[in-house]
Amino acid sequence: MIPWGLLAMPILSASIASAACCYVGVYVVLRRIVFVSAALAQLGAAGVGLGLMLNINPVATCYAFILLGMLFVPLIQRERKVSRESILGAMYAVAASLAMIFVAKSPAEQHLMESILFGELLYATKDVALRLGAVTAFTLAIHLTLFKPLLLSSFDPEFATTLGIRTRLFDGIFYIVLAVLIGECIRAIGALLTFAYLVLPPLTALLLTDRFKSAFAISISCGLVANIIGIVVSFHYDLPSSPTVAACTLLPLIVLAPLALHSRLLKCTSQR
Amino acid sequence: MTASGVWLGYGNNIVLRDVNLEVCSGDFIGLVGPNGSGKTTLLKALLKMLKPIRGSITWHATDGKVRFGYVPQRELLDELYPLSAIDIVLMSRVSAEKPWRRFSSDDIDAARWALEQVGIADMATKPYRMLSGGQKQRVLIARALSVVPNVLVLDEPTNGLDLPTEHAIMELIYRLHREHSVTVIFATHLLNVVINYANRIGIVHDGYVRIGTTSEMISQERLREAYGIETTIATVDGKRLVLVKAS
Repeated sequence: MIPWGLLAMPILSASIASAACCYVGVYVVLRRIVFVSAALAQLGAAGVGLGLMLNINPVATCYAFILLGMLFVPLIQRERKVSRESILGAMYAVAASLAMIFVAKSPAEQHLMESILFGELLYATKDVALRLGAVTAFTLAIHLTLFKPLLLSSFDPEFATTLGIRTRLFDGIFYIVLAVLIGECIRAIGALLTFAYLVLPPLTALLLTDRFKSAFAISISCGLVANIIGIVVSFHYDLPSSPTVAACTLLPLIVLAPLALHSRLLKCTSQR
Repeated sequence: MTASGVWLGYGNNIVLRDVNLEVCSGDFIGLVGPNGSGKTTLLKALLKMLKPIRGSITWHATDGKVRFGYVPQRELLDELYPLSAIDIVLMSRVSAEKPWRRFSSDDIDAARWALEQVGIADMATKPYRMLSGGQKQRVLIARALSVVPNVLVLDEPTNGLDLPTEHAIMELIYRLHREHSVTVIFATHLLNVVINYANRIGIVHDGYVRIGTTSEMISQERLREAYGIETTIATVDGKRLVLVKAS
């Protein structure tokens, strides 16, 4: 028997977080900034760790670290001598190490470290859901209102500039919204699941569709399916909830990718 | 457009020096030069994307505003984006003043008209990444047309296209130039692609731009001066052709 009443809040929290992450994740994958989101997520976790260690507000340190990391993003994108991936990889490794060191040295208990790094969805409360709801509403409101300039600035910034669109402004808006979303999600569901939501469901969606708007709907649906399966499995087998859900975000890809490949093969054959 | 004493570059790297250029309404200008010579840098400056280090570029429009229809290099667009042909053409209708504005029926009509003009109206809903090189180029030209431009700026539009497609694209651009009285600035590294269409040629080489009428510029002396090679200028079926002499 699955105690749906008990699992309602975790499923609700995960669904709210995944709706925003899976939507924004489509841009994360398309803009080829998957490692930016991974590094920012780890920087946020390091920020929380520092806050706990110094006994100051971990929310403030979390955002401070993410914003600090964001300042480097334009510099990284301009760098020509070494690859962007290598800089982001270095940033990720340092941030992940710092997160573990800070939390290990903090007076807080061990389970808190795991909760920050890996999240603990099963203990999500109404407050968590409300906070996530506010951030998700903010994220989706900005993205839906500015859908066109955000898409154009990311797809063809030069053409956008010739139309008078301030691409740097819209890039800035994109990264700020991403930072706020990552910061809140890390606190609620952990860095690992946040990163998984930002990458795997969007990746599945982009493999499945040739329509931009459908990609958002498919990505969010994949996230929702992964949440329900992951939370039920985690409860049933007494597994850590966020890593279980993170692993389950791969399920839609495993199930649907062969279908996508099959339909592409059919298309190619019919075109010939 | 008048560019006087313009120096262009990125940071300390000067790409073009002392560019003096005039573009008149109705011109078809071919900007020719080897890869990496600074053609795209010059186009960016003309499009106001890049500020000159020195000098000034001024645009004057008879109807008050210069509307650029920009066709970027096709290879620079990321095909990961699941966009259809009409999605891409509609991008030209995004308003800088009200970017949240929904597309009106006028916008959709303009996009369909532009696709018709370039001869691929039936491919409006096809995914861009599934189109051939020539069809993609037509989509990008349609997007530029949908701005209703008075200046069409094209960066290497025939790159990587086979001969018939290259010819079809050149004929299309020339037709749009004549029928819609659009000023065309066309950058290419292939001299022969543009010499039979442009009324003026700018040769971008060694950090300088030399510009003149096509007959002035397509001479053995000018080409030797610009490229440092000996050439033969042949005429085949009334069309000019520049051939490099064997050394």
